[in-house]
Amino acid sequence: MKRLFGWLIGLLLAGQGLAQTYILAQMDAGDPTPFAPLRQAGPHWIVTSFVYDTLLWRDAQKPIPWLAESWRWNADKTELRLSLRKGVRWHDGKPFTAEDVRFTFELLKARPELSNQANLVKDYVERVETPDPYAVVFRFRRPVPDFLEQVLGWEKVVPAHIWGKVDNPLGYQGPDRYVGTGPFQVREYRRGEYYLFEANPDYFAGQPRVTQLVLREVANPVLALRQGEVDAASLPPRLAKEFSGQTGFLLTPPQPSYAYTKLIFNTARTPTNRREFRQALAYGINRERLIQQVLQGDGIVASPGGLHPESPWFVKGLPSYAYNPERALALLARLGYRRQGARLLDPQGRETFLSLLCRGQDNARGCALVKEDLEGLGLRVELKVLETAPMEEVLSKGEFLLAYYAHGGTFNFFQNPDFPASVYKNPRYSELYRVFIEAKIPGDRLRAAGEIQGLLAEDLPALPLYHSLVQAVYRDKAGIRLFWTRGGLAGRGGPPSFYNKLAFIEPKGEVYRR
Amino acid sequence: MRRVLALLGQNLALALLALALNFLLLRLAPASPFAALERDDLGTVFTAEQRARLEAHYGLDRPLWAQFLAYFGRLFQGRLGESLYFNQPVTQVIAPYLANTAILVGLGFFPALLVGLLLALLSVAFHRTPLDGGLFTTMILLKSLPPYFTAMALLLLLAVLWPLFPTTATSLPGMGFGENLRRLFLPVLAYALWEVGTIYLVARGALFSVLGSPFVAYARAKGVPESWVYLRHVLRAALPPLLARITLLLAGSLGGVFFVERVFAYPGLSTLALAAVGRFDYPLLEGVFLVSLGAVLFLNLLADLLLAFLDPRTREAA
Repeated sequence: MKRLFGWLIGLLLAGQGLAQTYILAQMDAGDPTPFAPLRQAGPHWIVTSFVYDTLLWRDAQKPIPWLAESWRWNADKTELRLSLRKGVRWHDGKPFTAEDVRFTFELLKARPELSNQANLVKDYVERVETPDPYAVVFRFRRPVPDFLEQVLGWEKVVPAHIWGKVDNPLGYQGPDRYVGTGPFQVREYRRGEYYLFEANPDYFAGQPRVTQLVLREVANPVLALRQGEVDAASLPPRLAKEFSGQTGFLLTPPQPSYAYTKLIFNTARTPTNRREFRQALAYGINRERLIQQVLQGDGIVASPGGLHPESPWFVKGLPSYAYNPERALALLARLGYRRQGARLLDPQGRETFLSLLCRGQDNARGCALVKEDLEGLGLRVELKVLETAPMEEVLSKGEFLLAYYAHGGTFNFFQNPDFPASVYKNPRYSELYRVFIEAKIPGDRLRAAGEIQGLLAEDLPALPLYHSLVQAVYRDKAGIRLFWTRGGLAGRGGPPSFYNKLAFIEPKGEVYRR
Repeated sequence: MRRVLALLGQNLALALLALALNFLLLRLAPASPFAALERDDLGTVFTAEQRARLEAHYGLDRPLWAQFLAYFGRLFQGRLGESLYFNQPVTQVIAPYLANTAILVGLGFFPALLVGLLLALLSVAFHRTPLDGGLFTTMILLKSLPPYFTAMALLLLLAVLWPLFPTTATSLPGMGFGENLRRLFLPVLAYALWEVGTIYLVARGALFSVLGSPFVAYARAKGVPESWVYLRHVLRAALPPLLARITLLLAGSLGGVFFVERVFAYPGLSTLALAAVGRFDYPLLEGVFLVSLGAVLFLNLLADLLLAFLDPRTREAA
């Protein structure tokens, strides 16, 4: 009897350890090959992060050593020495060495079109040396402050023994193109449907918590979660609410997303070329109402300084442009505009017409609300909806007056703060931006960032509107605890996601601690 | 035979013209597939050099006429080029989506055809009874409801309120035959319901027009049993033009598939086309267009041929 009992328990335990599958709702991002320049920025980066590793990774708060165990800069920041982790193996069993790192970065240097950070490798790296199989030295032409996070935290290291034989890495279709060092190996990819990953039991940072990880495209994440079609998805809080307190479900706290929705002003055309005019419009737009009506309250008002509140350079105390139509009208009156009945007449006594470009039907509601607010001031607004690609073309040519636009974010500033337009010209901004990018001392950088935010909030080349809130809802299985990675998986606002691979492995103490 | 060759020739000329137009329109549109590179999440956008190298890799740096010639040159070798976004051969990207749409249409269309024809026969046989009236109203309703509405109603009823079927139509690893049928059921049903209305209405009209023919009156006068009149005389005479007509309708009804696929995130051609349009992935869009054009032309041709072979009268006329 006792034996039978023991046998049964053994069977149960074995059953639990065996074939544990966890299914994540995740949009299809194409073939999970390491080189995919046109789609690498978002979902593809997240998907492939389970298969390949970078030299640095990130925990919830900060960068941590990953394939590189430690590093040291020389005094003038022109030489970076990395010592690599020993005992790491590629999925095909070959050892990972310094040669793989050298190969990866030489490849990016020779073919910068392979990845969006490769231009930094090409422009700054003079050569990559491998004094021994576990040491790599990067020699730079000129100092590059952000290299660690921006490049080493982003570029996935690929095996030299496979990619060294490939002439055309962009088009390579060999079956070994998925060989990485990551916690999961690609078992199957069904285009438009799912990725099936299998645990890599030899993963250097710890055992994967499940034997299979599936990333699946779903029509409706809420229904899919309810029905058990997926185990995890990220949702706006209003939809996540129903799972809160439900047995078997866990929720992460809501987080402002790194998506920016903003109103871009054409600073070269009348009347938006006047700063006071732009400020007046900012006071005239009710952003709280936008958040209530577009996101049903699931959002936060974005900072007029252009940075995300999680950014390490974010400053508080900027003018908030809280909704104040009286103030808007007073500012307009100062420019010579006056009300006549419901209409606002310009200094020449004519009605003021503004054209408002709107990106896609998705933003139609928000656009209509902005139009309503501006018409409340007495302005005449004409709404035009364009799809993304044509809109970007129109913006880059500067053929617009007002544009309602949403884009993926960053913790940095853009070279053109009216991005993706590039109408705004301000020598002071360009100078501060250069200081910010090239500063060697963190203090200089912080000061420049503060000044830039003050300048943008005052000058308003664009009015940041809101960030929507997201949170992860997931099933409590196999000890998986999802968390938000501050700064995105690759740092600096890079792919924001709740799917950090650390959540899916049982950490080995010597590699990192949770 | 000459008729077949003439038909083929016509269709081929039409196809070439459409492909040429498609090629030019896409490239003259004010947008670029590389705009996405400037939408990068890290704020470090592709430099002009990186962009130029990518353009050179895909042959987009050459003058438009050279690209045009290269496109047709490739096409005649059966190659569709490489998707810019997926950086894989277009044929390889399209194949699974095409197969999925074919499965949806195949599974939905034939039952719809059968049911539609049967119901039409019933309607004709029971003309001026509540049965005919009821069928006619239901079918008009099914046909006039937009397919996404039917799809969402089915989803709400059979996946949410009464969860018999999954809400997602994408597959999962290790799904057996039964599970695959279950996930396909709702999209197939949504599509079939939309199609059955069309087929019924067309068939009902065609049957009525035959019913008034002298040979039907003659058969009845001869004392042929009523059911035999319908099967042997009415259906037989009505079927050839009806099938041809329905084949043509099928080409048009591919639009309905689009909405059904969207509602269930079904990985079919429309899902792919939508993604390719947003990204201005020229080779992929051209490929999707080629495939849809091929399907429509094939169905047109099939309709012509069906009519020619099944109905001796049109053969003589040609």
